[in-house]
Parts: sequence; C-alpha cells; structure tokens
Amino acid sequence: MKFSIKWLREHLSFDQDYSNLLDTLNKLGLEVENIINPFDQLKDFRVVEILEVNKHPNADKLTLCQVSDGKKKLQIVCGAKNVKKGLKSVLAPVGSFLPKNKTDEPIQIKKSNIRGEESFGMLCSEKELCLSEESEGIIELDKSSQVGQTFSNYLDEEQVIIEIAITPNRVDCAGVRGIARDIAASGFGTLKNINVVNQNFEFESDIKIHNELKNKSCPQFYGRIIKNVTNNDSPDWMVKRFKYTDIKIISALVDITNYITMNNCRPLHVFDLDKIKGNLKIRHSKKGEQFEGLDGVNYNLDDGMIVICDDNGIISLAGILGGLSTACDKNTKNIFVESAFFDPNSIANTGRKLNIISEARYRFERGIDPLSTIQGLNFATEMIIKNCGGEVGSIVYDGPENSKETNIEIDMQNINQILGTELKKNFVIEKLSGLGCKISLKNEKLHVIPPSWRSDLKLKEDLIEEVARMYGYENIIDQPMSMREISKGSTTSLSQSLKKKIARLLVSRNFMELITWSFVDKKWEENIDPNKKKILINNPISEELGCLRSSLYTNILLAIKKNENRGMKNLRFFEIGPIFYGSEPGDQDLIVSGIITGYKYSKDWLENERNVDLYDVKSHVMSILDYVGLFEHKLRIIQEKKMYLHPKKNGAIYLGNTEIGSFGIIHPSINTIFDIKSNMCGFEINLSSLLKFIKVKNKSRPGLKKNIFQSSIRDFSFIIDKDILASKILESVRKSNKEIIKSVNIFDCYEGRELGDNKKAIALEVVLQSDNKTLSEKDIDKVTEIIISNMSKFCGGKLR
Amino acid sequence: MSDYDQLFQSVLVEVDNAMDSELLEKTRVKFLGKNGLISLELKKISSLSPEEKKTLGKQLNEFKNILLKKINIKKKNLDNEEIENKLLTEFSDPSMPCRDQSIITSKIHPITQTIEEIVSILGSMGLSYAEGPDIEDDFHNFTALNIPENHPARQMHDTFYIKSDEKKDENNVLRTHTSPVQIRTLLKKPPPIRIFAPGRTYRCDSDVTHTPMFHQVEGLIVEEKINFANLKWFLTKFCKIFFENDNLKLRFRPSFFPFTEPSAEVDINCSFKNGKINLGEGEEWMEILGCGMVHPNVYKFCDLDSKLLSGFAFGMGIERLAMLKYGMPDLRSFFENDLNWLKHYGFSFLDQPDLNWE
Repeated sequence: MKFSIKWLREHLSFDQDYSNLLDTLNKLGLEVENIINPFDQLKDFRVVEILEVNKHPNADKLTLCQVSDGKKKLQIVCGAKNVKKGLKSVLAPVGSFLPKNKTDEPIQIKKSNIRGEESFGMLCSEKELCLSEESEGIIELDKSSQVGQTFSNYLDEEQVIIEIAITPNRVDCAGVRGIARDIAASGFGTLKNINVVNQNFEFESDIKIHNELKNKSCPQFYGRIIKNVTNNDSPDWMVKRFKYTDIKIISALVDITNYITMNNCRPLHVFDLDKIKGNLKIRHSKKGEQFEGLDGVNYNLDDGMIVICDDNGIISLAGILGGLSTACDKNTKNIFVESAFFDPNSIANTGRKLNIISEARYRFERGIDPLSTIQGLNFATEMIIKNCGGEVGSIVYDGPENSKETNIEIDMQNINQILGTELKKNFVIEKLSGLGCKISLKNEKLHVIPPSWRSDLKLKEDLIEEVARMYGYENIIDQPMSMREISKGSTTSLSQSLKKKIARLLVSRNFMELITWSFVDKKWEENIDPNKKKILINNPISEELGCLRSSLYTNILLAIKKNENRGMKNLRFFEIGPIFYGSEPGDQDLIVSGIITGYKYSKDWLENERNVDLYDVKSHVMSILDYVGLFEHKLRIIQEKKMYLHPKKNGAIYLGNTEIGSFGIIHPSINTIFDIKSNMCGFEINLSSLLKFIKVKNKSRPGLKKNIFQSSIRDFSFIIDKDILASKILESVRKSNKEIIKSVNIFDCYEGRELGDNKKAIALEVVLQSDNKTLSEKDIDKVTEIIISNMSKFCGGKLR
Repeated sequence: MSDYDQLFQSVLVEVDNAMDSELLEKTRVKFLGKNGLISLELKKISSLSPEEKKTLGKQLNEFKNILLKKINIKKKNLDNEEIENKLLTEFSDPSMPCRDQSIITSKIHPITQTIEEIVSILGSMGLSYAEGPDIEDDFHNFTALNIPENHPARQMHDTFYIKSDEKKDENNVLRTHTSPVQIRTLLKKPPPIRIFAPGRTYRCDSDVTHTPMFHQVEGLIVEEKINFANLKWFLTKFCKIFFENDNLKLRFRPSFFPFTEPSAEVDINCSFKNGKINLGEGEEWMEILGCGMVHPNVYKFCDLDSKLLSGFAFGMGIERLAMLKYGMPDLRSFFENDLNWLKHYGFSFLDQPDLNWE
C-alpha cells in the first residue's frame, strides 16, 4: 500500500519528522517497505532553462542543449524528444548522485563525452529521479520556476511516498484513513475529524433491489441513483496523487470509487444506469453461467458465486469485478452507485477459483468494516456531485443490517502472563479504548467489544497482541528462561548425526557437496530408471522441475554436465538428500550418492594417467560402510543389472536380503543422454535402509586382545573361472577355519591366454594364527588342505 | 711413561688416518684381531715375571679398551659420513607439486554448514532436532496451523501440489514451510516440548530473490509458563551466538502469522558500506525471522488444552542466515552447483561447528 505524506496529513495532524513516522509505522506492524523522499535526494538538482537546442552532429536521436543554471551556460547532450528552447527542466549537475534503492551502487553524474560532444550533466525524467514511473521525456517545470534554485523547492509532500506491507489480518489499514487511525492510537499525532454529510436526495431512486442473499453472503446492499453527471477527467490533485502512488487514472467516476477504496478501505461500484435493464437482483450464480468482466475476459462461473444481475443477466461479480456491459464511459449520464458488504469467505472462494486479483477482492475477502457501507455511499455521493455534478437520488437497499458484535473476556493476568509484563489495568483500558474498543469491567475482568473495522480481533490472544503493539514490543524486557538439561541423544538422532558425518567423510575424500532441487525433469528420470515410480507435481515451475526425484543421479549428472561445459575436469560430486517413491507424507528415503569422473591422476609427473575405475568408487562406499561397522565380510556384494550402470562393472551391496547400495561404472548410454564426455563412476547408499542395520555401540570398548602366539603367512595361487566373484573366493577360504584364519587378502589377479579361456589366476595371502598356541607345521598343513579343498568344492579352483 | 708409548702412538695415528670404514676395519684387525699386534704383545708378556706381567698387562689392557672405544667412535663417524654423502647425491624438489587431486579442495555446502551451526547452537540451548516429511498433507501444512482453505495467507504460499494416485478431495503438497513439524511434534507427544526442525521447503516461485526450493528452520517451545519476554530473550541469544556478534541489536515488529498470536518479525541492525552489509552496527534494519506465541487454535487442532499451555515458535530462512553471515550476494547461486562458487563459499570438512555456551 502506497500513500503520500500529503494524503496522510489529510487524516492525521503531526509535526514530528518523517523518520519518527517511519519508526512508528514499523513499531505498529505496518512494515515500511520503501520510502521515496525526493527532498533529501534531490537537493543538489537544479532548475535550468534550455537556451538553445541543436542537433547532435553524430547521432540522430540526440540533441545538444545549451542550458543556463543561473550562473553559467552548460552544454548537455540529451535524448529526450520534448527538449525545446525556453523549457525549464531539472539538471543533475556533474558530481551529483542519482537517487537509488539502498542496495544499489549509487550512480554519480560525471562530465562525459557522448559521441564526440561534451556533456556537463544530465537533464532528468521523473523516473530517473525516482519520482514516478514516467520515463517519456524530461521534466517540464512551470514557466515561473526560478532558474538556479534547488529542485527540492518545487516538490511537495504529494511526492514523498511511503510504501507499507499490510499483513492479511490488518485490512483496516488498506486505506489511508485506517493507517492514520492506527498511528493516532499509538500516540503519534491526532486523527482529524472528517464529516461526511448525508446528502439530501432530490428524487426517489427508481430502481428496485431484490437481495436473495440478505441472510447469507450479502447482509448489506445499498445504492442510489445520481442523474445528469459528466464523466470527465479527474481533478488535478487526484491525478497527481494517483500518479505518485501508481493508481491508474480512468475516468472521474471510476477514479472516485478507486479513491474511496484506497482512502477509506471501502470498495464501491458505479454502474451506468442507462445500461442496466430493469431492476437489480443479488443471487448465487449457477455452474456454467458466463460473465464478461471489465477486463474484457469472459469468466465461466461456478455454483454459489455472488452475482448482481439486471433483467438481462449478470452485470457484476460482487465485490470482485464489475461487468463490461454496464461499465461507465465518457458518455455516461446517469449512474447507480453500489455500496455493499459481502461475506469474506465467499469472495475469497470466488476470487481464488476465477483467479481474479482486484483491489475490491483484496479488501472484501479480508473483511472490511461492515459499518462503512452507508458512510462510503455518502462519501462517494459528495465527491461525485463535487466533481461531476448531477442530482442525487434516494438510497435504496435490501439487507437485514444486523451486524454481530464480538465480545471478548480477558483479565490482566492473561495479558501479563503471555507477554511477561506487569501492565496495569488502566493502561490496558486506555490503549484498547484508543483503538476503538468498547470496554466494560465485570468482576475484575475486562469485557471488550472491538471496533467494527477490526474483524481480526476475535480471541483474547488477539487483544493481547493489540496491547503489546500499543505498549511497544521494544518495551517488553527480555526474560531468561530455564534451559533444559542436555542429555545423550537429546539433540540429534543417529540418522541425523550419521548424515552429517558422511558428508564430512566424503569431503575429506575430496568430494564436493551439492545441494540440488528435489524435483527434476521426468525425461531424465525415465532415462535413469524407467521402472521406478514417478511422482509428479501438478503445478510445476516448468517441465524441467515437474517430477520428484527418484534418485540423486539426475541432478548430479546435470551438475557434472554444467561444470564440464565450463572446462572443469575430474569432478567428484555428492549429495545427501531425499528421494521419493510415493505421493504420501513419508514416502521418501534418505540417500547419499556420488559420481567421480575422468582421471584418477591426470597430467601427473609422478603417477601414470589412468581413468577412475570401479575400485576407486568402491573405496568411497566402503569407507562409509566401514565407519558404521559394516565391514566387507559382513556384506554380500554381487553383480546386478541396472539401467544406468555398466552391466559387467557394477556391484550391488546386500545386507541379508536388503539392498543398501550399489556402485559401478556409469553406463555409456547415460553419457550420451546427458551429453557428458568424461567417463564416470557412481555410487548410492540408501541411508534409510542402512540405518536399520546399525546398532548403537557401547561407548566402553572390550579389552584389546593381545595374541602372543606367532602368526604364519601362506600364499596361494588358484586358477579359477573368470566369473567367480572375489566375495565367494574369500568366503570359501574364510570358512575353512574361522578360528585360525585371521585374514585373507587377494594380492594379484591375472588373466592370460595360457590359463585358458574364461580363466583367471588369483593369488591369496592368508594369515594364520591361533589364540592359544603356536601353530605347528602340521596344524598349518591341515588348514592349507581344507583351503585347497574348499576352493575346489565351492569355486572350482585348482591350485596353480 | 709406558714401555709401549711409541707403539700406542703409532696405532692411534693409524686409526685416525683410516679414511673409510673398510680401512678402519683393516686397522682393527691389524691391532685387535686374533693375530693382531696387541694380542701378540699380550702373548709375549706371558713369559715375563709376575710383576712385569702385571704392569705391562695392565698397560696393554687399558690401551686395548681405549683403542676399542676410539675405533667405535671413529666407525660411527665414518658411517654417518657415508650415509650423509650418499644422501647428498639424492634430490627431491620440495616445490614440485603433489600428486594430482591429493590435496582436499572439496567443501561442505554452505547450507549444510549453516544447518550444523544452528543444530549446534539450538542443541546446546536444549532443543532437540525434529524432522518431518517433504510431502505434506493439507492438514499438517495448513489447516492445523490455523490456515483455513480460504485464508489469504494460503495465497501467499504459492503451493506445489502433488499428483496423487487415487482420486482424493485434496492433493498433498510439498511443504511450504517447516511449520508442519510443529504439528507433527505436538501430535506425537504431549508438552513440554523443545524442538527445532531444519529442512527443505518449497514454493512455486522463481525469480532473482526466490527459488522453488529453499531451507527453513523451525523452532517450537511449549511448556506451561513461557512468555513473549522469554521469546525475545531466546532469539536475541540465538542471533548473537549465530552471528558471533555481542553488539547485535534485534528489533521485534508486530506482524502476522496464522499460527502465532501475538506475532513478530525480527530485524537485526546493520549498515551498508560500499555495497557491503555490516551486521551489528548502524541504523538500518535487516529482516531475519518470524516468530510469535503459539496460537490457541494450533493447540486445539492437536487436541491439547490451550489454557494449560503456553509457548513460542519461530522460523528462519537458512539461505538468508547464510547470506548475511557469509556474504553470498545471490540466493540462486546456492543451487547452481558451480564448482568455483562451491569452492569459494564452501567449508572445509574440518570446520565442524562448535561453540562455548556460557
């Protein structure tokens, strides 16, 4: 909501300066979003007279102006079309700063050379001075303006604009009058009385109102006919006021209703009486009915919307938008002025369904003052007669008029307990009365009837906020509260702390952490895995963000592509975040996923260049699993077909029958689809699944067992089928003697033609040690034999 | 002096002159070996009288010990010298680069870091980390938070709706704020409650200052006698610790949230110099959070008796907190995944937030 200081002064008399006013507005919860104070900003700007206008020799659209600033003659290059000899305008002299928003860098005017011609300053448009949106041409000052004076002298308070944000509960401040009322209640300035005379009517309004909704959603409907008006231009003061507060000028009649909307928060509507056929009826619309709005749009109505009809049909969408068929124009002679009250809920519903945004809807759906109906009509009548002339008809109406009063019971203890204050009863009564509340005392309790314009005050908590507002939030003194004791696990859960640690673990392994959207383009998701369920958004920002992600890969791949395009190589990215498998709350899993690309070492003077491979990515996965105590021998790592992974270079990690993660070379088809050049390896671990397998360990450790007996090492080499997985080999060896075999390590793997097709040689180092004796050669030979026989039995391996 | 002076002198000179460990060893054998000079001398005196034997034997043995010591020292010196000489023939240039990608240049994302800082501060202030789902139903995201269907506040939320499998009256939404975690917490267990809930939030809005996904942190404290003055104290404490600035001033302004009453927006003081913001100094105000006393209707929707309870709630935008603390100029860049941005604004994995809470 924008208003000028001059406008505010019509309702509020005050002599404090602007900064106090802004402070007061903020303290009242009427947040100041912007202030335009050209007095301050424009004091260096000068009134100048254009003495001479010549064409710029090197530019068609520019002119060379010789201007006088009262002391000397200056040459200015100007692009405006309205420059002419003798025009008085505004000069931004060399060294001055153009007005700006506070976060922008200030622009200083410098002596410049424009296409070979020197320019000593700038002739300004209103937009350049942040006075209005007017950017066509430079400012044209009155002939009487004195050359050389500061431009500030030619401004008035109509140009000092304050813009405030109005919270949904404070519709009473969607009018300058309401803002003034709130400011005055806080003790800043005094509210001026404005008398609106109940106009004597000169004839009986010859139109009948049939209000079908008087006991439902239209409790009040008033109107009157005014005859023989002239719908010419609005007066200069209003044109100026509207210009600086960004309200569109239309015609005197429409401007008056808009003015009362902005001034009194009282939306009205003016019909061209000669376009109304017969009488008026207020009723609910039926599904399928059509209505053509003032905006020229044809609306398809639903059941139950409030509409105003004449004998021909719907002429207005009540409280939201007038109709084109009865709109006023330059030739309008006779009018019907409507002032009514509509149910906020009904207006909100209609506005939302039809997606119409209007000043009237904004106010009605938030609940305007139900007692403003007649006053608004009288105010409109007065302004119309004054500006457009005409004869006033009697007021016609159809409505029950009874408006309910809210009565709230509250005691001082309620107030002071919630606020942490020690306010006295008299203070509270004074402040609430100041806001327009009627208060009576019964048994030490306050019975409060809020003013008609504050429909937001319904509960005692609402009144407590009013008391706090009037007292000033800043005057409520901070009070320490007892801190709850912190105990183990009282802050974070296992999964929360695990998430944090895994992120740091991966960064320590040189992965960059990403945070990406939870939604992706469905087409990418299809490419990653068409079998996964796709959860779609009804109203996405765009197609590219239309599907909830079912894997983190898509966004990581897009990040790789983007950075690769910028010349980055050998990337390592990961993200920890949710993926979605259903459309209900909780249908999500927490995933950690990463991709590495390119070379392990590249252009390295020490190491040979090589691509990142399966075992690089596996080491990252195993580091995470190792941290949570899931050592490799507890896992089952097998190969599985996954669309996005190399069919023969991948691993799926199982705990029992649960797949907790996978890793592998990213399938080259993904490279093609995403247009990524680098080779890639990826991994993902489902932390939600993984968590089910993690036990919280006892903090105290079991004693470290020192084995004093000698350990022995035996190396083996087996020839075995190529497709036998190492996990199977290791398991076969381990189970040969779980007590004595302390570790098994594969230290070589070789494939060669001499071994035969589909064969490989695998070399193992087995560490043997007993916990209670030194192993004899005989003991060792016995284990060795079992190892060899197990390898043969389970893996078909032959000792080489 | 000794009868052997001349011999001893010449032996010592010879040891001194041994230039390398090989020569030294030869010298040792020459004098101390089985058939070395000293051994031979010792044999010689065996035929002498006991007195002479005693005198000469003592001289010889003493010398033998001296000689042994001397040879040992000499040997150590020669060994050291030889190692040193060998090392001097080797060379690695310390200013040559490390192995490719072996230095950790990767970073924790600033949002993760900021959340962890908040976890650490609010955790130490006695609040527990609560979580809620990203997909929410109408009840938790709106209705129970006192935002009925036609409330203007709903329009301000620009909600994303999820397509559902079955025909339902209302679609689920992507949560528009972290406030539904308040409802989930209040429904799960009766107060006293002290929680905070950071997480992803979504609004159908995308321009220079809005991204369709962003992060918030919610806070909720519900007990018996919590008041607005406590709320002011709590948030002042939090902000001073978070921004590491004891001079920070907070301004509480009346505002409106459907689920709190009274409600406030909070600004911190700052100044702008050369396009840069300085917190905790100056007269300008920068909005950072919203808060208020829990609205009685919220308790009602959670089947709790509002007469017995009082509490406060607050919500903050995490990107905004990060931008103010760490000076990122632009919201959108948080999600652009630009390597240079991440390197510049990210955090080392060693920068784990910690604090000393008084």
